[in-house]
Amino acid sequence: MLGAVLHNLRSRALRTALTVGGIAIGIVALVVVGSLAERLQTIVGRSNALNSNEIFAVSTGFDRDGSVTAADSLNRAARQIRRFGGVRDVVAEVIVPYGVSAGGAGDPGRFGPPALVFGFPPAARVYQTAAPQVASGRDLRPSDVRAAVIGADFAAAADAAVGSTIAIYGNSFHVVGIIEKSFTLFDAAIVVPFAQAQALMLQDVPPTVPALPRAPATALMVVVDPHADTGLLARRINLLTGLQAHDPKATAANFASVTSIFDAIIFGAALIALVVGAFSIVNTMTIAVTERTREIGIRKAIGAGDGDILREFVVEAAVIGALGALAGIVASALIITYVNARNADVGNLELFALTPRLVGGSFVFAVLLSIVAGLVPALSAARLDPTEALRRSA
Amino acid sequence: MNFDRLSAPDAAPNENVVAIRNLVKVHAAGSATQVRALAGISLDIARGAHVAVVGESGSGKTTLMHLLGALDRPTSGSVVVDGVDIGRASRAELKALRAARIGFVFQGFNLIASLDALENVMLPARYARVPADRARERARRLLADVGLADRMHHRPAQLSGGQQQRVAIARALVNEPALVLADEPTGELDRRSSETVLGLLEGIQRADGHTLVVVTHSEAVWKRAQRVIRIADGMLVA
Repeated sequence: MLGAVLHNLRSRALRTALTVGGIAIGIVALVVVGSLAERLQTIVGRSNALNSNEIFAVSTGFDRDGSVTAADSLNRAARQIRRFGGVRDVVAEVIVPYGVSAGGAGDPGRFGPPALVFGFPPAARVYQTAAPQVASGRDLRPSDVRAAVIGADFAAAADAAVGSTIAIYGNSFHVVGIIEKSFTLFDAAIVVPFAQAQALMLQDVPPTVPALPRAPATALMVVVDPHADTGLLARRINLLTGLQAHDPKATAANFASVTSIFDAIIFGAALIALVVGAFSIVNTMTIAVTERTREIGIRKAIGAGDGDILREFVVEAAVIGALGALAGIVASALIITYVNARNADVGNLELFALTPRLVGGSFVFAVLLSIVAGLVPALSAARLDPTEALRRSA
Repeated sequence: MNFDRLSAPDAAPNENVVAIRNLVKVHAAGSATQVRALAGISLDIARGAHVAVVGESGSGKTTLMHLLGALDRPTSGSVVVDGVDIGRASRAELKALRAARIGFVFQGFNLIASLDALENVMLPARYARVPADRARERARRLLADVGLADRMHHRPAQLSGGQQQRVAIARALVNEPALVLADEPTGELDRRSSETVLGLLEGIQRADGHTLVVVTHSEAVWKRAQRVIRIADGMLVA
C-alpha cells in the first residue's frame, strides 16, 4: 500500500511538495521554539535540583571594599540558624565576583551568568550531590594550593584548559579540572580552595579596618531536612541581620510558572503554523478525492468496503504528514546546529536543545494532525455511492 | 460472511446464478428529475452461461449491470445473485459479495494507476481478506494465463490497451467469482486486441465454468454469446 501511496504522491509532485512544505514549515516552528523551551526547562530543572534541599543565604553587608564586619555577623547568624527546627547543617561559603569587565578574558558572555569565584569548605562537598561533575582533569584536593577547577563556559571564554594558569585579583591559580557543562552557575564558576577564597575576599581590606573576622565567608548554605518548610525557614533567616535568603521551592515554583507561560505562548504560535499546514492537507486530499472519484468507484466495485477506502486516504494523509515532519525536523536540526554554533562563538550559550522527546513528539503530532486533517476528505471518499462514482466520471 | 464460504458455495451446478423478478429501478426517485431506468424485468441466468446484454444508450443495461454487480439496490422487485438478495442484504454482505463472488471488467480498462499489474490483480483478493501469499500466487498464475507473465510489475501507463484489459480480466477472476460482469470490454480496443480479450473471456467461461455477462453495443461481441438479452426503455425485448 505504501508503494501505491508514494506513487500517487509522486504523480502530483508539485502539489505534494507544497503540502509537505506547509507541514514542514509548521514543524520547523514547533521544533525550533520547542528546542528553546527544552533548553529553558533543562536550565531551570538543573538549577532546581541543585538547590532543592538547600536554602542559600547571602550576606547583604559584604563587599570587597572592607565591610568585613558583615562576615562576623554571618558567623553569628550561622550559629543561630543551626538551632532552627528542620535545619540539618549550616555551611559557610565564600563567593566573590571574578570581576572582569564584560567581554574581557574570562567573561562568559552577555547571555551567560556572571563569572564567580567560589570557595567551599570540605563540609560543603558532602551536600553537593547534585552539583555538576568535573569533566576533565580532577577535582580539588584538601592539599591543593593555588589550584582552581573552572566551569566550561569560563574555560572557553578565558581560553583556559587543564594545566593553564589563570589570574584572580592578580594571583595566579593553576587549573586542575574543568566542570561539565550544566547550564547552571557552575558553567561560569572558578572554584578555588576555601582558604584561598577567604584570602581573596580579604585581600583588598583597607588598613583602617581594626580587626579581621575569624572565619570570613559571604554566604551560608543552609541544608534542610527533605520535608522541612523551606518557606518558613527562609522567612526566619531573613529576620536575622545582614542575610537574604530565598525559599528554593518558591523560586522553583516561580520558574515553573514563568516557563509554563513561555511554553504556552511559543507552542501556541508554533501550533498555529502547523494547523495552517494541516489545512493544506485537507485541501490536497479533497482535490485527490475529487480527482480519483472513478478510482473509488472501481475499488468499491471490485470489493472495497468503506473502511478500505477510508484507510487508503488516511494513510496517504499520514504519509504526507510524515514526509513533512521529516523534512521539518531535518531543517530544524540544521537551523539549531547553525544557531547554537554561532552562539557558541559569541556568547557560549547553546540556546536550543533538540531532544529526542521533542523530535519524536513533533513527528507523532504531525502525523496525527495529518490523519485528523485527512479524515474529512477520506470520509467523503468512503461514503461515495459506487454507481454515482462510476457514472460521474465515466 | 467469510471468503472461504463464498468461494465454495453449496450450490448445485445447474442452479441459476442470477434470478431477477419484477425488477424496477428508478433513479432520483421522488425528485423532479427521476428516471425509470428499469421497468419490471424478470429473468434468470444459469450458472456457467455466456450472456450478452444489448441495447441502445439509456436503455437501462448499465443500471442492470450495477444491480447484478451489487453496486445498487432495486427500487422494487428482487435481484438474487449467487443466493444473495441484493435488496435485502446488509452493506457488509454486499461488499463481501462484490469482493468474492463477482468479477468486474470495465470499459476503458480502469486499472488503478498507482498499482502495478500484479497489485491490480491482487486488489480484489485483498478486499476479500485473502491471505497475501495466496492472493499473490493466484494473481501470478492468472497474469501468466492471460499472457502477461513478463509484465507483472508494469504499471497501467506502461501497458497497451489490450494488455490493460487482460490485466482487468485477471483481476476479475482472482477470487474465482461465480459471475463475471463485463461492460463493453472491447469498447476501446482495436480489432486484434478485441479478439484476444473476447477469446480469453470465452475460454475462462468454458474452461472454469464462470458465468459471463457481457454488456455491449457491439454485434461482433453479442453474436458470440450463448444467449442475448435485449433491453429497450428499461424492459426486456422479445
